[in-house]
Amino acid sequence: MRVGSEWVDDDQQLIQYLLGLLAEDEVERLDEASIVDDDVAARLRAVENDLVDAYVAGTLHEDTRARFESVYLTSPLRREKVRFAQRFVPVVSRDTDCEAATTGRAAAGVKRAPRSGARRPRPRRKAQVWSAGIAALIFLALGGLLQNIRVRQQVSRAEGALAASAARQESLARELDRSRTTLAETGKALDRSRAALAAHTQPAPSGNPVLSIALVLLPQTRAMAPVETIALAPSTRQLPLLLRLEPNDYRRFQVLVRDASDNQLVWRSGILEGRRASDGSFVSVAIPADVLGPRHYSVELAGLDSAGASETVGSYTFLIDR
Amino acid sequence: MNVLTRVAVQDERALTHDGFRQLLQWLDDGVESNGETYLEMRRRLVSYFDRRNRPFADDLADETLNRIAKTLEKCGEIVVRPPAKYCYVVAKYVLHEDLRRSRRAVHVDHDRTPAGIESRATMPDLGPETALDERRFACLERCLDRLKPEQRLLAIEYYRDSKRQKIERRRELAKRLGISINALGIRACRIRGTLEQCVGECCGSR
Repeated sequence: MRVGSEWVDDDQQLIQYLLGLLAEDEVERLDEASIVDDDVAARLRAVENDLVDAYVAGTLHEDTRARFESVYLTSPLRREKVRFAQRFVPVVSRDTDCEAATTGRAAAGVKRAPRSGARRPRPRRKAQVWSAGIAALIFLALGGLLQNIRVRQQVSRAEGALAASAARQESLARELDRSRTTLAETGKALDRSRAALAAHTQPAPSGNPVLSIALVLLPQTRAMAPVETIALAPSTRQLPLLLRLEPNDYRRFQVLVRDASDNQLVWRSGILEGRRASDGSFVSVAIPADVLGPRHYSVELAGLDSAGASETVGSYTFLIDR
Repeated sequence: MNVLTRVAVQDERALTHDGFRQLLQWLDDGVESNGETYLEMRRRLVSYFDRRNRPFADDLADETLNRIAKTLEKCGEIVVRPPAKYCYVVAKYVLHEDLRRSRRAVHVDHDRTPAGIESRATMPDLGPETALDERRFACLERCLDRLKPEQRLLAIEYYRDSKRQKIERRRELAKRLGISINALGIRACRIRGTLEQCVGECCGSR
């Protein structure tokens, strides 16, 4: 079956391909080309859009239309393309008509009025001059009116764009408020943890307080939490941390500590097991204090699968103050 | 999705961040594209599976790309060139596997069964205005307004006729823009694809 003559010859085969009219060996060849060959892929996409638009506009040959309905429309994805075209084609045509109406073609018939000081028109031509002048005035007024319509349309579009922009701003402001609330709540949770730590702190023989339980670190998320500052006394040998976990499928982990300024690895843990508590899951790690200087550090928590492959499941930061 | 396909797909571990980055670089084949090559390849694969009447073309396209990424992670390189050729080879395997699964599976989703598809083919559901159609219309207006003026103008000029005159009009437009007719077609299709995606997201239909 040859598809309608509205298609150029080069596209005929692609149309037949889209409508399932080709032999299997040709289909396989075009299947491959549609993925591998950039030109064929682009051409196929353009031809498909034109086919859909032609169906929507009702300009397909009868046989082609029947084939389109029985083959092309069997797919939900392709039906969605047709639904889109049913809206797109009329909108494009409407905008075309507006563009034509506002090009000022109506003003093309304006005649030049006689210059001052020029010879006066003879009486028998006076009526013609008056008619031309009136016609020019009418055309000018019409042109002005059409220009006004065009400006109004542009203003309306600009207003629509402004409204969309305002809505977007509002949405961003709401998101910012939510982030601030989350930040405040995170801060309160940290304060509660610090209070709990302080309640369990035992003074060292020298009178300086020493951490006897671990510090909780929360994972860095898109809503940035403040960086935890940890003051390490010179006598501290280890920094115990509890790294709160985001949901993941791993049971074994490894901790990597990096200098945040140059991402150099400063320390790596052995294999660690995750733990569950009433308020979430954690990995407990003790970092030797002698690898930590007064700077920012990033902690990368890697999940390990049974084959030993790793995947980063959380990142944390802290600042050491010595 | 039929049960067997969903189980088969979920058996695979999700793509890691590094694996995905490796896939993007391999697809780029030395020419940085900011992910555009990946998006275009995915689009081609979805269309391929859709033309082959597979009900879950998006999932099969993702399955194809995931397998390629896993191969890259495991082996470090793929010798088949160009990358698009290997994508087609893997896609063919994925297609044949999906066909075999369909023959074995008990279909529980009537809408996606051949019978369901056929019944819709004889009565395409593209008829009178509905509330959803009105929403699509409003969404299209909004999406068109979001286009840059030159993109909107190009789309209008390119798609405004459905008759033979459009071929001449497009040649003139390409000449005016100083680009080939193929390059014009690519630009117009990209703008239309952007609009389709925008309308889909606006309507919440995807």
